[in-house]
Amino acid sequence: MSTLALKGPYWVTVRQYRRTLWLTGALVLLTLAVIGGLRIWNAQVPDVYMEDGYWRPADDGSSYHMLRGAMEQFSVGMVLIPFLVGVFVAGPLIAREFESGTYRLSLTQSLTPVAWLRAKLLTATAVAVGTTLLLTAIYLIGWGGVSGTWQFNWADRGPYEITGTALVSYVLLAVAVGALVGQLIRRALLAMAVTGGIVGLVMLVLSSFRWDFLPVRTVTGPAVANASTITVPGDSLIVEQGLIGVSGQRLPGWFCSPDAPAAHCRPGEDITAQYVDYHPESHYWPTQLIETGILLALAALAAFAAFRVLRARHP
Amino acid sequence: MKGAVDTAPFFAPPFHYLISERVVKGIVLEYRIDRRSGVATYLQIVQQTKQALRMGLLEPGDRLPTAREVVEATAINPNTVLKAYRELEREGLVEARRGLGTFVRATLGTGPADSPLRGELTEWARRARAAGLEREDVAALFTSVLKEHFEGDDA
Amino acid sequence: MTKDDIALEADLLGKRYGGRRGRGWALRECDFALPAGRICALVGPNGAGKSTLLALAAGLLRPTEGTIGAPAREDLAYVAQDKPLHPRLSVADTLRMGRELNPGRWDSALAERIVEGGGFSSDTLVHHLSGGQRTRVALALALGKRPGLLLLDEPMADLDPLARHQLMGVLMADAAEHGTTVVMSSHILTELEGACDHLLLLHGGRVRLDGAVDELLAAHTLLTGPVADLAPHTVVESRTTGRQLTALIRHEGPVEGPWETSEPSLEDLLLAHLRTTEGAPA
Repeated sequence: MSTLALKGPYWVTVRQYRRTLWLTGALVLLTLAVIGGLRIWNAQVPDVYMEDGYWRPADDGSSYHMLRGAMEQFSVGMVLIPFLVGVFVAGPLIAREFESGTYRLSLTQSLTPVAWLRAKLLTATAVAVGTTLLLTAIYLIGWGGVSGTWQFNWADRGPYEITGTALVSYVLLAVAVGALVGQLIRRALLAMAVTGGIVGLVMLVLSSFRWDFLPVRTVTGPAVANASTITVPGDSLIVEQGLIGVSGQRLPGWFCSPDAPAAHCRPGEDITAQYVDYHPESHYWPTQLIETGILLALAALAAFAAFRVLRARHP
Repeated sequence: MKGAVDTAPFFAPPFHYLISERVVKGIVLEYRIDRRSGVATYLQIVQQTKQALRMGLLEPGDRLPTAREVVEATAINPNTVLKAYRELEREGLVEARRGLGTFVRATLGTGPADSPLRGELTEWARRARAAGLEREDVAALFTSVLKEHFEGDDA
Repeated sequence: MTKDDIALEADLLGKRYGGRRGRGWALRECDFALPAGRICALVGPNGAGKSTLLALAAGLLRPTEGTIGAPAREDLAYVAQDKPLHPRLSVADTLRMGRELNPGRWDSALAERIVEGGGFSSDTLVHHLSGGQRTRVALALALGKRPGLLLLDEPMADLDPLARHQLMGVLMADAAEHGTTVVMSSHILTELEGACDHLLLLHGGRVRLDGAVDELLAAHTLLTGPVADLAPHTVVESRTTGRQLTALIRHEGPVEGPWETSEPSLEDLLLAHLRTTEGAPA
């Protein structure tokens, strides 16, 4: 990690956290080695086309299963990046300066408090975003081997954030929230916990509501015993499905059980149709962009507040 | 430090001086400040300079150490040194040359250390010792005679 | 004296910590003007407000009321009591930090000379340094910046007598060479006596004494003798033992009376002022 070209507070920040940077770099390389290695191994045993229209792994499937397993872990790890970034910014980068008193050293040099915080945050942002993008590129290497399978669809948690713009936006939000919380709570551990909590809460709320950003598409079909009469495009995210009564009200249930006569499928109610609410894959980017917009707005707000707090406290 | 006090000549008043072993860029004087002596710091510098002049260790044309050199060695306030040098200048003993330093202008008292007066004093001290006087006795005697003859004189 | 000759100035300065229900006033109604080029001793017992005053002067705290006039951030250096340094940087990196954060004014040679006197390698990580060595690095960082005003909070507390003498010498030499104004706090007067020519005595968050040391000493008289009326002089402290009176006064005109008089030492003066203002609001 060359620090030669860096100047002023940027040099200081990089020098101060050089061990974290080395560790980050090592982690990226390790990830590349594991995912890249598994992907190459997996590619050397091409799947075999079966007569019935399916593909199956040529060997016993071990290379595929190991790649899947690694990618599942990788998905979880990637989603944790915003937490790690937020926790790092809030604790070691900001709050610890106040807790240990070294801010009195930094803020009595020739640079302004704003320049000091800006250098810290820009350095952290550059490293965090750079690392996230590198890891995303590595993820996409592995993605080619597993995409479209269970847990690796475009709308699944993990792949959804990683393959779009959401994850980087969460990282930016985490930096800004960490900067604000680290200053407000000048205790490293507490600031780390609170920042992790806030980032987690935003992630939870947005992942609960992101499929409400855009209206769902609905298809209906006749209610037939024993069968779903509806087909949706293959890559769709099915949000809800059910039956529709005579008066048009939606009722729970899929199609009638094969063991029961059709008339008794829903005693006391006449079923006229089946329905499915779904998001087509074309909703992927609009949803990403709406979520990104919300996250960037929140990040800007937190960053603005962070600098306001700094200015209010340090002339 | 204590050793220096003990080996000081018996006629030394309650201030002390040290002659530097090294002669650095014409500096022949190092001041020793005794914070517990009760004598104002600037006066100690004045007195030690005069003592060096009396002993012939400083001669006209010699440069006094700069304020920076003095305070670096003694950890006293620079203004104290400047005050002492101003006092010496007021008495006509030294002159400040702008940008060059403070230089000795005049000599003091009986001149060089091997003057006849010193010889007489040495002879007197020898006789005092032969008469069985202790160092403290001699110092007390000397001080009382000093007091008798120089009462009221400023240092 | 013109405004330019003042290095540090407080005008009805007050600082209260923790808002309305906080710990109360750390400083209150402080008024002083420190002339440039002075070496000022900031003395007072623990909790007198010395550290608060220095942090206010360094621009690290905002006053609750009043104002403090100090040089711009570039032109002052501040060494806090606990000598904060980044623990994971080496000594050499710490000095490099001084250069990076003070472009255009950093004096590498001076900073390195101060550190070299400490007898430790510049590769040493700061968190492996002893208290005295930290002080040395912190002072090197402060002086390397070539400040016009140097604020030192208990600078010598962690040093052995030899290092204390040496670093005080370095400080004084810097002041002699560059005319640096220095404010040094301490609750141990002997650390500062001889080095300082200006005194600021704080007690209970207020300024009790402020002025040039020789003027303050000359304005006071220590007297012993029979008990008698000391008017018109201001009595700072007086004690009576039997028929004998010992008093420290701030004299108004010449002291005439049956007393033996002498000029007090700095310590006499400080102790007398501290004892009489003990717990008493000014």
